[in-house]
Amino acid sequence: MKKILLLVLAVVSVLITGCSLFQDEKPQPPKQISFIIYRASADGSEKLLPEKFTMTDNGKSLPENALLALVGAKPQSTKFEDVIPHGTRVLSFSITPEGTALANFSKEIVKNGQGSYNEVMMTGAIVNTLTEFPEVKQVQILVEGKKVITLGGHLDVEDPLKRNESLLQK
Amino acid sequence: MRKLFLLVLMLCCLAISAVANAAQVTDVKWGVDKDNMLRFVVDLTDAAPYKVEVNDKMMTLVVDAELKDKTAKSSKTRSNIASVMKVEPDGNRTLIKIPLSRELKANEYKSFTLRKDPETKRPARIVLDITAEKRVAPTTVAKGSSSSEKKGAVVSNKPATNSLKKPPGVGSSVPSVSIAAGGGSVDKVKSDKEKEKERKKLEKEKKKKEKELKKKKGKSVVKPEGTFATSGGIEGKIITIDPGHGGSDPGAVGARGTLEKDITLEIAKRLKKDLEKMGAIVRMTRSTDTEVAGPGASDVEELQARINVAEKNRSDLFVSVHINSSVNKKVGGFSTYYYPKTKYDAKVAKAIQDNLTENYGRDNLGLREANFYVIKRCSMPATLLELCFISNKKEEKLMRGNWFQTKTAKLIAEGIEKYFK
Repeated sequence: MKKILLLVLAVVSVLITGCSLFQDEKPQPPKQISFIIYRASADGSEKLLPEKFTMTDNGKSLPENALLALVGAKPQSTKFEDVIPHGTRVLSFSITPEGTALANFSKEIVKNGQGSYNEVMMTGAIVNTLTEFPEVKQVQILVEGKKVITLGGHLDVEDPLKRNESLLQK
Repeated sequence: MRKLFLLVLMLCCLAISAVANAAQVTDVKWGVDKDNMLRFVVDLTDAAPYKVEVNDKMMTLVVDAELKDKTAKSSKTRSNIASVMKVEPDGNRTLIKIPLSRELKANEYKSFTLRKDPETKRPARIVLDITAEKRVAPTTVAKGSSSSEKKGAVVSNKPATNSLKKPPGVGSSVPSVSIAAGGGSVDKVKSDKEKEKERKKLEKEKKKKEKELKKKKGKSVVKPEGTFATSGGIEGKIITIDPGHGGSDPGAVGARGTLEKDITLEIAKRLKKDLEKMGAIVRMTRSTDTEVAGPGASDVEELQARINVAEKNRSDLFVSVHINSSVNKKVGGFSTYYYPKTKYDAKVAKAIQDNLTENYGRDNLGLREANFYVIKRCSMPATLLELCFISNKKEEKLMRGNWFQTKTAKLIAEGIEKYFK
């Protein structure tokens, strides 16, 4: 009796694993995700324009992918202008339970001697891109893991920043 | 035997590293701030011990670091307490000699160090301030009320850095001289303590006097701290104008070589006259081509120094004048920024922006919200004006001319007048 039970169990287990093996063999198309990122308008109108971005799902959260795309990917159209200093990288990204996104950049993001226009557009693009997602209420900008008071000598970025609708094209 | 060997090895290493890290003096700068305080800033490749010696009328800042180019220099300073400064190499040390026009008391000068700041690429620094001829501020330190942090005004003996809320890269200032010098004698320590005592005494006396003054003047004259008027006409309103950038910071630069700091100052000067004609009391964060916090200050110190002028004068309004710049050379026009800390910030910004764009044929880029340091961290309503683009050829030419500077100032003044109505 015991032997039969074992045999049945063995057969069942083979069937189960077999099934799953069978399923895995079916080639699945990679899942695509898309989201909106905000970029400065190249016509110099001091407005942020939405850019649709589509990519293969890599398991990272949508806000993190959006930030990585904003910082790392080139604009897909000439109507956008890249306002993030060259060489800037996202060192880490997380969202607190209270909805504060902690966006940690490499030191290249600190750049003096540029007009306030660039600073306004850059912080605006980062904050508006991230707050497009309902789980992000505000954004804390960090540089090499630390809070800084200003990135270029004009704007105060020490505290978390809220979405700025006045920069969006209406 | 092995231990001995290790010890010798360690000592060798220490000696080598000491030689390798020997700090050098790369530059010595001086400047006089708006309150007539004379400041010397010594740039170093690394922190180095130093001491300040005062013998009769000769002040010497002895820095335990080699002078990099090994050549003695002397330069004139624009101060009535010391008219010249000499920098001399002295073996492995550098001497900065400052002949004084009179003897100094211990509380008439102070020194401190600033750490190297890789973030802003600022070197290690030694700062020596001579406050002997400093004009005394008219009011006490203003206590901010609208935001949580301390907004200390630069008053009396405190260095500007102390009033800041942990700015990045500003090292803890070393209050006394002998700490860094290593071989500080007992006498030195004693005199430092005495200095501290004297300083405290003076501060107490000052506070007393100020209290008495306040009583005499009565409550109606001296506004309570952190309050501001927003209506009842422009007459008697205290307005602080902040011409953007200045001194070592030119701001944005145009194709013809126009500097933002020059245009902002020209417009600000005209704006001051216009507002005064309307009966306002006007204060300027700077009225010459200079930094407000003094040379060698960090970005944040510089921005805070501008706010301090507004707070110290208990201003009803703070207006920061800037010129815009963009990568796109075609863009032009006016934009006015505010930070919504009170309901009046947007109101004053709108009044100015409307008056500018209604009377100019230039583009209206609009009224915008942005967290500019200077308009966010002051307690009174404030606005930051971006008056056309230095990157736009046509506008650059325009803003260099008297016509534009005068008209723009007049339109801003009218906007402010409307706001206070």
